[in-house]
Amino acid sequence: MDEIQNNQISRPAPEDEKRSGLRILSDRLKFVVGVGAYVTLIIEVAKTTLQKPPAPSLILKQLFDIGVASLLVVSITGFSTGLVLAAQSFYQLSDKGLASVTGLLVAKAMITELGPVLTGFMVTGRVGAAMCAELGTMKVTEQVDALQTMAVNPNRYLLAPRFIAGIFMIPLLTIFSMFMGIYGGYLISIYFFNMAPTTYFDPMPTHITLFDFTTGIVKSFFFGCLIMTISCYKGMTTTGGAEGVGKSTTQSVVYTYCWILLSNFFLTMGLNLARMQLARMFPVLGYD
Amino acid sequence: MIKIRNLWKRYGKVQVLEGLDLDILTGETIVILGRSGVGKSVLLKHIIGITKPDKGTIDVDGAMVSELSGPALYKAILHMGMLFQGSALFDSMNVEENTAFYLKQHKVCSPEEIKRRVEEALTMVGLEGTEKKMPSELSGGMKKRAALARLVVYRPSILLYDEPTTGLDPITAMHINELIVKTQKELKATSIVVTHDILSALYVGDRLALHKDGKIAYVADPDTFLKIEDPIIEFLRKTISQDPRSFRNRPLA
Repeated sequence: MDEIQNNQISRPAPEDEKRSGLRILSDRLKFVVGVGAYVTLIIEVAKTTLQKPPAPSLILKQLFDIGVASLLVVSITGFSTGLVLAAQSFYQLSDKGLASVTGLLVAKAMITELGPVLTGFMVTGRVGAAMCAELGTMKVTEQVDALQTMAVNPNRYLLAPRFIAGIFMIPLLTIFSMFMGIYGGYLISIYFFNMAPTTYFDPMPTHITLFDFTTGIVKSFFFGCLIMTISCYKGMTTTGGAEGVGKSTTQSVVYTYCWILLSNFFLTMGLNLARMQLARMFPVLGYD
Repeated sequence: MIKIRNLWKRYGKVQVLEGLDLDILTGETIVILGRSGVGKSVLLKHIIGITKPDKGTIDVDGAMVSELSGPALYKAILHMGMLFQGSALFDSMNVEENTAFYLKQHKVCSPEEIKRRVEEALTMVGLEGTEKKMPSELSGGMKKRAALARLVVYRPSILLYDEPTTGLDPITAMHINELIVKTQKELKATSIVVTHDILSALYVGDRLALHKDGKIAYVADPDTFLKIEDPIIEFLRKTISQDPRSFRNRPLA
């Protein structure tokens, strides 16, 4: 009897079930609406930019903030990753007689994976978060509204320069990070593991292909788009004062990290499958 | 002339505007009074077109602002300006850059003329010498005055003021009121002032309107307005005629 009563007590009432069902539906709708608003924002910014590009001075400022100001942090990240990668590779491979591929391993990893992903992460933390917080603060303090009341389109004035600068600068930063990583690996291999420079560099021209560079650049371009659009979208949809700005900033960083990691997998698979397909279709191009 | 017809706006579960109608004559200063949260600021944002109504129309000098968007909207509101409750100065710019913003963005005049007009506007609001200060270095009253300079520098023909004297000491508030009247006279502009401050309303307004239950309940000249039999207006009337201590332990409107 007690069991029956307990069961009755623990079973949710039909109204509660209905309410929780509605909540799930409402959450899903919110997600769909959010994705729609995100895509609409990107389209609006692209349309505005094509109609009338933002002032060069605004783009230059963003190029400096995103690119030049991120050089140090990207250098440190790339360089230290190269050092660690070379050290680990050397220790793991030398007893198997494969130490000579250390340089190739560092270069391949930096160019195709670590360069784009780590640069994406560092730019998200340094630039994306700041951008989201700045735009979010402007939104909650009515500065965005003030722009509009002065007949200035916030998409053109605030977002377009950031999109353009980010999409242009992040691939450049990634290339810089790749070379810093290879250089870091070179330094430790030569000066600590006493490897000959030719041993470190020689396998590279043969095994590092144009496809590897294309992979790295395509990824960095895509990550650049993700970082800029997510940060700007979260900033421009901020509500609720200082707490809202904090929340938006955290969300923008977390979402960007997750999307970088997820899209990295799909880009790796997609690009490699495309390469195999192209190699089959046009063997003369030598995509292998 | 600004014609607002049957304006409806809902935010979530809150119906803010419920079929609001209002006519604002060219060159007049109309003050919209009302309790907090009734949608006075929302109404201003509708008039300048940055918020869209669920239903209804706003006609500003022949332009249907409520139906315009993108470049057409920006073109229609070029001659309008708004002073925000929290000033909304651009944090990344100093006072001079804030004030010159509109003129530079729309390339209204030469750099020399911009400089001259910025100086003139800052002098008018009593902020000469603060050109290089950032908004974070200004007091609340100075921010309001800097925002007012940013507004008057481009000489809009329709000025919207969202609680211009809220949070200011009585002397600064009166100075802002004087500036509103002076600006209105100099620019011969149409001014719409949203405020809770009845003294400010009486000082600047040609007509007063009461925003209540999502609608404009009454519109009249100040003398007639104060005679209207309504609990809120009665309370406003008492606040300007009675010792505030007489309200102690008595129900308010």
